[in-house]
Amino acid sequence: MFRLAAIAFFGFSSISQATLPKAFLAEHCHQCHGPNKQKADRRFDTLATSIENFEQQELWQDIVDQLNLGEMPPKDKPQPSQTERLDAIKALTNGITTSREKFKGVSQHTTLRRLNKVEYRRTIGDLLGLDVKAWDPSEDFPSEVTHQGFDNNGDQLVTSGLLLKKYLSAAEAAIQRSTHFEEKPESKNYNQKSPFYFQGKESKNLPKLFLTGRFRFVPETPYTDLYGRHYRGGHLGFLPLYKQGGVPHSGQYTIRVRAAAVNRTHTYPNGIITSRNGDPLVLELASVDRRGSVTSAGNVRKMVSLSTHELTETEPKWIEWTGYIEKGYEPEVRFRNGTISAKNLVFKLGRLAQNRPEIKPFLHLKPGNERGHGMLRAYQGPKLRIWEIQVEGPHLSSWPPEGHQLLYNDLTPPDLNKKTIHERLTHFAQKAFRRPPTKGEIKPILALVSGKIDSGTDPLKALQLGFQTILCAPGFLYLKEDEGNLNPNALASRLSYFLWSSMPDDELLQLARSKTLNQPEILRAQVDRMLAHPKAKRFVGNFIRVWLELDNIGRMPPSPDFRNYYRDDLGNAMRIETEHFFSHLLDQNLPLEEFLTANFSFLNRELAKHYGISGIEGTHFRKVTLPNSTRGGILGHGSFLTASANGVDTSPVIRGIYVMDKLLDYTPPPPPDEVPEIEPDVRGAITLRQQLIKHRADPSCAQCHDKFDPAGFALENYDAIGAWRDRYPDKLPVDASGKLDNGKTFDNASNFRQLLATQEKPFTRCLTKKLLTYALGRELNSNDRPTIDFICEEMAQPKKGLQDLIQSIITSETFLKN
Amino acid sequence: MKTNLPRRHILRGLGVSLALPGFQSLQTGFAAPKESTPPRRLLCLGNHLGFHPPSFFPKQTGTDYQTSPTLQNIDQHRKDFTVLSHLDHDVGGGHNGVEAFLSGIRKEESSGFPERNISLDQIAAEHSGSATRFPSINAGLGEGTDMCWTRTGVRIPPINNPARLFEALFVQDDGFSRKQQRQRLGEQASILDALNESAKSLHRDLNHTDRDKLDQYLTSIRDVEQRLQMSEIWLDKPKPNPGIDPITDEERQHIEELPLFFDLITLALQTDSTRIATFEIPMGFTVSDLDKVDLGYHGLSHHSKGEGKLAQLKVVEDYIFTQVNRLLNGLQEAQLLDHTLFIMGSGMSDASTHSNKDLPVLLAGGGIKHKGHLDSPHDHHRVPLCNLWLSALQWFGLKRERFGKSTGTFSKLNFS
Repeated sequence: MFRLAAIAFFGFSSISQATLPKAFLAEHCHQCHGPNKQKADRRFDTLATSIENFEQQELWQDIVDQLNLGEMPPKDKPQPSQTERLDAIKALTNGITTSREKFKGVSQHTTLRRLNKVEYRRTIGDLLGLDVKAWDPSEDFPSEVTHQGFDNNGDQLVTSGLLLKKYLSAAEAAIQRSTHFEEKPESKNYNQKSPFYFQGKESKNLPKLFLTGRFRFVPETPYTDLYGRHYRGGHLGFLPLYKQGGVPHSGQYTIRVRAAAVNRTHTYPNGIITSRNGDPLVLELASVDRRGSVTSAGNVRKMVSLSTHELTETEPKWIEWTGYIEKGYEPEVRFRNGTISAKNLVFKLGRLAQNRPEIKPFLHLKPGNERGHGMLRAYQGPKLRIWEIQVEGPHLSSWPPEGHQLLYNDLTPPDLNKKTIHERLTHFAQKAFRRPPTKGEIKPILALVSGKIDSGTDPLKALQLGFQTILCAPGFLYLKEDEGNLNPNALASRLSYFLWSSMPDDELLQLARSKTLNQPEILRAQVDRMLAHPKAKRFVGNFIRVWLELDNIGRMPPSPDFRNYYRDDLGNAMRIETEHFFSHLLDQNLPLEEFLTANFSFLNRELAKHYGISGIEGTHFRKVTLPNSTRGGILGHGSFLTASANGVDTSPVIRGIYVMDKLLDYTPPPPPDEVPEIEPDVRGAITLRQQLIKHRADPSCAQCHDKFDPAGFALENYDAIGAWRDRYPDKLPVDASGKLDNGKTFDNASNFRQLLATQEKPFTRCLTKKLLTYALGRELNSNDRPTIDFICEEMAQPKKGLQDLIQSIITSETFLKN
Repeated sequence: MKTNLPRRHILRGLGVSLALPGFQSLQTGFAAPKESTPPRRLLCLGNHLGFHPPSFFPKQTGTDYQTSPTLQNIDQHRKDFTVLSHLDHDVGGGHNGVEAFLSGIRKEESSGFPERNISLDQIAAEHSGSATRFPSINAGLGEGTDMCWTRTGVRIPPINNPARLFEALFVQDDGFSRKQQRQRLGEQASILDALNESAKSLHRDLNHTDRDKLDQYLTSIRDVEQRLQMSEIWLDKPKPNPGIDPITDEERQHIEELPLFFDLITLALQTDSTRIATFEIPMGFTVSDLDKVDLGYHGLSHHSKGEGKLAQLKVVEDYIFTQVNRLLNGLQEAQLLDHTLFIMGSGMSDASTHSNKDLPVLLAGGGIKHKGHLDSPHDHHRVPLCNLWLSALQWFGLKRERFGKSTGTFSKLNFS
């Protein structure tokens, strides 16, 4: 590629120097970027004739980019002739090419990069063989600093006393959890038949969940019915395990529930029951941590959803699930998609079902047990009916667990002395640091432990202090990449943190040791292996989260006024849709344009209904061909549309900028200080779009806004949670038409999508840059251009897909060096 | 075998003469004679979604202003507070700009400042922190509003469980657990020593920018060491008697928690458990628990001038200020108000436009001469809100010339 530039250079031999085109700049640029004005904080009149330092190289790159795109001079100003423009571009480009040699490597080093929250959690999990879903070692860590949405930027990540203190606690807990000198626990059976609520003597000291109340009663039948989603009358606790303080050991357990779906279809009028008439009833199994927390119903410290099961028949059947439950957690059974709550149900029945014969007898009663119980017993709407719950476990295939083996091998506490302890610590440090520790790193830790033993500390305790120290050392917490070609261990780590968000496995480390990992065929084969591995799911989930800034949704969650968002668990569903979509494009190595144009997605019933697509049953996700043109590609994904709104309403400006930044490699400069806010005003019959158009009439505003507002307008038919709307809440019609910066017009989102489909090259470039930023853990700059250009050219060849893009990135010089 | 003393011993031994940064008064905290004048306190209350400006700001200035609909709720204290208009931090970002309320600096620009975006309360906590068991108490509802930031740019999550705050303030750990805690502190200190040595050996291997990063790690070690020392000193000192029944850990609505927290904070100040407290009201404040409110708070704040929403928003703001009135009453009864500077406001003014300009700011107590409604220049020569914060810090006892983006002190209020 450098050769191409050189040929071009020699073809136009009138320019022999790579000097700043001063005359050109003076005529066309200094007016706004000179001594009197410095628009967008850029000033060119003080630039030297040739590039003197890296910052100047960046500025030259900036100038030539604007000239190449035709963005500058602004359209309403006098334009240079084509020759003048080309000459200037040539001079600048040559200057940059030369200076890149001089400033090779500048700003292309990832700074000593700390593991971020996600990576820390995964690494602890992988290193010690711990399930880190329920017990999350990073749970109370402060949030990371993000840079352009990315939370793994080595330069930006901060270590503080607060964080270090948390590392100390987390490390201590991790080692405790991994230590198992006890005998292999026996699998036990636990059983409870209905009833699940208690009163009188039996109920003493039980949490509210197990007690009868206004909406919970001891039934005369051999089953207990659940009526709604929330705690009162919607959840069942499991008494045998509550009494034991939860399951005694972490591990695999089997839960069986005998259940049925009653009155799936009902004849109650609208407005009483908030779930959909006729839907299968969903039973959810969850594990909860009730310790140290509360006495009132429902407020568990933490809940982990285990599985969901759809029931359609009135005949009871057994449903079964096997999976991991964390020590101390108890199972709960819930009516996942019931009406909002039993309390709400009774209230509504009393108000809106007064003429129903089964309800009438209770209407005169004051609110209380008699009324509540009576109505619920008589109620003929959907009920989740539970006869019996059984729990069996733990099922442990090997003992002791692999984490314990790593720490102690076959040693028992009497075997521990200074010699065996030093061996264990050195072995663990090698694993934890992802490379052999240097003498200087490990010596103080060994000295600490020896010192403790000498002063009388129990050897096991001393050893554990040593393990804890290793997990707080810089060797564990940071990725050390130095400068220049990555050494084999550093390459293995960079690769595994890219594709698995965690430490390299034995195969990678073996290849690193034999110094063959950076050989192209071996590297490619490893990438294939890693992408096919289940751990690659972490890459998909994590990359999508930072690329599309999905954490925005957590910071500004959809308003509770969007009831179905929470009822149907749409937030989760949207995230899963996008993850499945990305995974599919990856697994099938589909071309990148599918991101923009795909006529399929991955939906479950709830999400399909949200998108207005009928005929999809079941809560599982499957590939669906989208029936019409209102959805297609990532622009139609709920995740994309919700993350670009603010939880209450939409703003075309915000959405437009989001589209340009996430898909088309354009980040607009911040608004000038003097811009007044737009004040939404419902009292006039004027939409936000109409107000914006007035503001954009000013050419200096239009200059930037014309680039991104159109994308925002195109998406105005999607509300703040991505549902289609033809009208705004105040009944004004949505106008989704617009004109792109290049003059092409569109009437609606689907036209817009077609126009977008022609933007394959900018999208490829955009995704390449995002992936590269994520992979390197640093910001990209003008020195990275050659690599980015090269990868984009490769991807322009036919039949190239998402896997090829990742291979290209990993085998590039930029990835293999620091 | 090494013969030099572990660093820990050196730090402790020289504690008397070594001026540990920010903890100068470590020894004087309880060796000093009982102070003749009551110590000064700082209490900051921040709301995420601002306060509806037309209802908050009075129309007239000076001490004889006619109260505004929102301030009506605290009008009985009008001689003890000043409401300030046309002050802000000159930042934008809407929701993202709220975090700068007590620091003047947004997270994203903080690396350019020597003290990053440290908030006012944390600067005060560094100064007086060692004199009390808790350098500061940062509480709030739910997730809070990103109001409090440390020197290293880390956000302090607020305590949002009143039972836990009660426990921390008033429930004494038993003798056995104290012994255990002391042992644990000792272990952690040894670990830090080893980590320091281990990291220093790595330091030699690194290039220039990587070394700076590792320096951050080394600084963190020193930071934790100092905290451990403080914890050890406070281990044996008995906790005060609260004079109220214990607060049980149970599910409560936000509107139940808020007054409970205000009471706890008052008690904490009264018992000198801390001299700095902050409280955060988040965007997720469940206002629908209030009568006559049936929408979410965020949705309400996007009132778009609609009558219905504005009416509900008024209910919410009246509630907040009624609680503040009660808090001020409590501080007065406890004879704290004259020695406590109460700062209240938001990093956002009008949530409907997401404006971070002309913020609602209220200052109460502190024994200063209050000026009713105090206006500052609107267009030219605007006064940075950080000037007010700087004056507040000086009132608190710090000898500083700058804070955040301050250009000087706030001359219009006499803080002595």
